[in-house]
Order: sequence, then C-alpha cells, then structure tokens
Amino acid sequence: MFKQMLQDLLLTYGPSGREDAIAACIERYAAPYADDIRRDALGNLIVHRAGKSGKRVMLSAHMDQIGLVVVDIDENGFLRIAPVGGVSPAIAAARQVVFANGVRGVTGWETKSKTAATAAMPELFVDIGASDRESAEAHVNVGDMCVFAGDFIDMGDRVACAAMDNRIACAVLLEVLRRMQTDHEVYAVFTVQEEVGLRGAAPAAYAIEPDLNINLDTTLTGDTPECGKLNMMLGKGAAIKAMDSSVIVPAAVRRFLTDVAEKHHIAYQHEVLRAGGTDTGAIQRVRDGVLAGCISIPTRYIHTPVETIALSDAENAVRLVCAALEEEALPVAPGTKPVV
Amino acid sequence: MDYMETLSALTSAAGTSGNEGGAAAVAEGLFRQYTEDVWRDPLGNVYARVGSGRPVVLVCAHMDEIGMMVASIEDNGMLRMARVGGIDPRVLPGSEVVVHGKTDLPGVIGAVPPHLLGTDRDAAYQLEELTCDTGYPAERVRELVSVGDTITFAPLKPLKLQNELVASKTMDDRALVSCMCDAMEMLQSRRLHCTVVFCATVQEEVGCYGAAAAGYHVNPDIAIAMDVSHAPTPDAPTYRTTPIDKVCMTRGGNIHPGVFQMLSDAAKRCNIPFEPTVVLGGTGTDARALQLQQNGVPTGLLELPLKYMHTSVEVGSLETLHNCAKILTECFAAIGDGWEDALCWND
Repeated sequence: MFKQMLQDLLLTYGPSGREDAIAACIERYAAPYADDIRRDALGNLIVHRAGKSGKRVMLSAHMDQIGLVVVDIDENGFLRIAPVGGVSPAIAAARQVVFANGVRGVTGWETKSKTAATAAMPELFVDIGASDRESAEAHVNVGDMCVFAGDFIDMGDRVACAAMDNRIACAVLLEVLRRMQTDHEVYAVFTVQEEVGLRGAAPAAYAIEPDLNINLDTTLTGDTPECGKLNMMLGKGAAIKAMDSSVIVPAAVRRFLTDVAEKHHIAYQHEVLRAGGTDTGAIQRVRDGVLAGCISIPTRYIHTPVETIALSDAENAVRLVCAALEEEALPVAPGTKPVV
Repeated sequence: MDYMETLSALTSAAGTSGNEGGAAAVAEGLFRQYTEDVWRDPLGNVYARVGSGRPVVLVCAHMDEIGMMVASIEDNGMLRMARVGGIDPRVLPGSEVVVHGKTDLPGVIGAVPPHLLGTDRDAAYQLEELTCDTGYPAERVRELVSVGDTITFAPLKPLKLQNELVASKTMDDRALVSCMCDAMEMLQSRRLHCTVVFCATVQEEVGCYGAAAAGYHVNPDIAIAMDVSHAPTPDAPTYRTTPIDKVCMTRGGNIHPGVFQMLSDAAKRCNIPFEPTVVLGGTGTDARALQLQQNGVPTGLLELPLKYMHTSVEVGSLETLHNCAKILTECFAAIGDGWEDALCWND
C-alpha cells in the first residue's frame, strides 16, 4: 500500500517550478484526510486539518525534484541544457530523461575531447530522436524541463529510484495525514522549489504562522565504502536533525523529538549534515522566527537516479511524527512579546 | 561599567550559533541592570528598551560565537566535528575546548605529532581530519555525548595585554555586546527623545539570521549594527584594515548616508578618532540583514578593529570599545525633531 503510493509519487513528473502534476497526484492521496486543500501563489500544496488545542503545527516536505532545463535547440535537433537544482554533469550524462508531456530522450556529450565523466554541463545535450530543429520544436521548447526517468528498484526493505529526494518524505507526510490522531491544527505543506534554493517553504510559513514546524527531507549517509564521515546509516531509524548547512535546529525542538522517540521506542539517529540545506532553514527565518525542526530519511546516492532508502526508516519517521503530534505540550520558543 | 568584568561574563558563556542559550542568559542579566524592559523573540534574540516615542532606533551586536558540533563518534571515543560558522581548522590543533554533552566535558583538539607526519608536514589540517579527545573511552563518551552536541573554545579569562589591549575568545562580537551595556549605562545620565532598542542577536556567524528577525520584530526607523573589523597585523593588506585605536565607520550601499552622518557627527563632537571604510555591497554583518527588513531600514555600521579574528585570542582595544559606546550615546542623545529630515534623500 505504502510502497504502491511511493512508486506513484516517484514516477510522477515535477522538477522545481513545474510541480503541477506531482501536486495533483499528492492531492488525490491527501483529499480523504483534509478539511480543505489549496495551492498558494507559488504553487505550494497546503493541506489543512482543523484542531482544538489552539496550537498550529506545520508539517512540510518539498515535492519538487532536480531536473534539466532546455536552454537551446540546435539545427540538428539536439537540446542544450542547464541544471535545475544540484545536478552534477557526471551524473547527468548517459541518462534517460522524460519531459512533462511524456516525451523521452537520452543525454549525450561532446565526445571529441571529453568522456561522460569529464564533460561539463554545457558539453552535454539531450537527444529526443529529432533530426532537425523544427521536428524537435514540435515536442520540446526552450524553457521546458526534463527529469531523470524513474525506474523503481525493489530490493525488499531497501528501494531505489530517481526522485526519492524528496518523494519518500512526501509519502511519509501522506501516511502521517492518514494515521495521525491530534488535537493540534495541522497544515501539511508540500512545498515547491526547494531544490533551487529553499524558495517555496518561506511564503507558506509566512502565511501559516505556525507554532512549530516539522520538516521532512532526505539526508546523506556515512555507511558506504570509503565515504565521508557521517553519523547517519540506512536502517538505523528516523534521523533527527541537529544541523545542516541551512539550519541549526533549536535544542528545544531536538529534545522534544528525541524524547518522543524514546517514550514510544521509535528507532532514531542524530543527524549532523556537513553540506546540503533543507526547507527547515527557510522556515525558521520567516517573520521574527519560527520554531522548526527536521526529521530526515537517510538516503544513499542523493541527486542520482538511484537514490536508495530503507522503508523501515520511513516507517519510523511516520511513527515519530504521529507520536509528536499526539503530545499536548509542544516545545516553546525563547520569546514572543510583540513590540514597540 | 567594568569592561574586564562584563567581557569576562560574556566571553565565558557558551553560545555557538543556533545554541545561544548560555550567552543569552548572561546578556539578559546584564541588560536588566539598566532596564526592566527586557525580552526575547521567537528566534532567541535578546532585547532591552530605553526611552520612548519615535524614532525607534534598533542597535544590534551578535552574541553567537563560532564553534564546532559533534558530527560522529569514532569507535575509539574520539569526536569528529562539523563547523558552526567560519571556524578555521588551521588554528584548531592545540586548542582547549568544552564539549557540551549531558554535562560539560573538557576536551582537547590534538594533531598528529610532526615526527609521525610524512612528507606533507606543512599542509594545513582539514576539519574532517581533526578529532576532539575527552579522554573517555567510547562507551562512556556515547553515554555523555550525542551527535549534535556543541563544542566551544575553553572559557579562559580575557587576557589583559599592554596598551589597553585585551585578548579573548569571542571578542567577535561579545565585545560589542558589552559596548551596548556601556552605552545603556551612559544613557542613564542623558535625556533621550527617542526609543532605543538594544539587541544581542543570534545566528550572525551562519548568515545574519538573528538580525533579520530583529529588524522584522522591532520594525525600527533607524538600525545600527556593531561588529568587528580587521586591525593591522604584519601580513594583512593595509587597505583592508583599520588602526586598532580608531573606530571603524562603514560607508557604502549597505549604509544610509544620513545614518553615517549622524554617527560621524557624534564622533566629531566627542573628539573620537574614527576611520571611514567603504564596502560597496552588503557588508558581512548584521547591517546587511537589518537594511532589508519590512519596508527597508536606514542602517549604519560601527566596527571595532580586531586582530586575529576567529581565533581564541582575538585582540581588541578597550579604549576603542568605550569610544564606540560614546559615539552611540552621543548619537542617540542628539536625536530630536529633525530626525526625519536627516534621513531624507535630496531629490
């Protein structure tokens, strides 16, 4: 059931700034559990559930994915591309890609002096099988975006696919909406444009003015051969973030989440991420500050077409968010006094 | 106000960016000596308000410090670290530190002895290669320390050097927090025709985030940031430094000319030596964020020249620090009916 929903989310198109299809897909899953659903001016999908505690919790997960944007079409029908978000050229070469209208293509590179591993982004191109500019433009125009074609690889508890960052967190958030029992008012926000600079989340938090935000995203791991030293590992539980390059999570929020995890015997691990940011940082800095924390799904090979996670970590993240929402007392910000 | 005492209290508090609790408690206590009107905002900034009416002037100096965070724990009990703010791994080996676990643990950051280094003896360390040693074995470390706990330089007392110079950790920027206390004390004997909100900000070292929240929270008519700049050292480019005995006063796109004028006029009236410096775009200080809040805020910047910035022996002059406070005090006391005209653009 969860796996089926995850596959559906993973294979739905939605690079940054072009999230209509993935938003519609998420809305179908969220509708049965929502009091109301809207999209804001930037395109964030905001799912609202009324509460009676007087406290407002914003849950968030970005729904956009990394991709490539067409910047030029040459006379032979080859499409020159630029990255949408953090796409490494070495990873972008020799891939299957797919556009919003379903047109498929493959990425090639200038072979005279470069290999797939050394070609820079301007030396890559997409080949959609067109023989000249005119026939290419019948399908694709400058400004159109493509994404890595997803191929869901089921290894049992561990699964891999493109767009796992961040559709696994979208799936976790949808599962939370289905299971949660809470007195708090909940806004579940599926944000846009995270991959291009944490751009969607801040306007949503500005509108919602939450008492607490719990963001959901993926994080790197330190459990593959000869990798950088990181604490996070696949299968060791939901990762409770202390820091990434966008945010330092307040001790009060971390303690709240770790206390809830201990109380309910939910497997968790501490997360310190040396490089890479999340919506958590953007949300924390809205207005005069929002109490924000983040629960991450440890993910191997992030920003490749084979992003790999453990479903047990996702299940622990669902349980942790649900248990946190059951708590009557939420963490409290240092101060609130309105001024002057 | 005794600068050594105030500095000592502020610099010995722990407060890396995003975990400023210890420093905030000290700042709050110091502010309360001058007014009861002290509070914090949701992000953690600490405020103190004196005076009343318009204009509202917001003064910011940041209380967060650079430091480290435990990123992973090795099987031999050593702590691997991630940087919080602009920590320079070259100055870390040989440092005494405090690991803020379940209890505060003393630790040291060691290095491979030169005897055991291979050919690349002169290569600087990367942070990932360094470890923090508490002396405990791994099991005990894991009981007391979690990934995500912070590590700060040991709170050694500020060291008084010759010539009114003082060396300490976290002179950047708690020296200027102590300067705000000095200004509050001097303002007690001056008549004020405006509101001054003093703010010890959080998270400057990771992107001036506290000042942004403060500017939104207070929505001031005028904002002034106080931070540190570079004093001359033998190998520093001279055009990027200010003499250690002069207040550094910034001009440029980040700075409203009217606010610069108010500050420099105040300095001239008090016969305080200052040196204008030019930064074309956004400065690397709270001024950058303050200017852009709400509908836009006329912003100024005063800086204390500092030697050896971002080490545990940052050196500044107490006399220059007191001069910063005198400029602020004179500037605020002089604000009267003409303040809006002073900030008007001539078109």
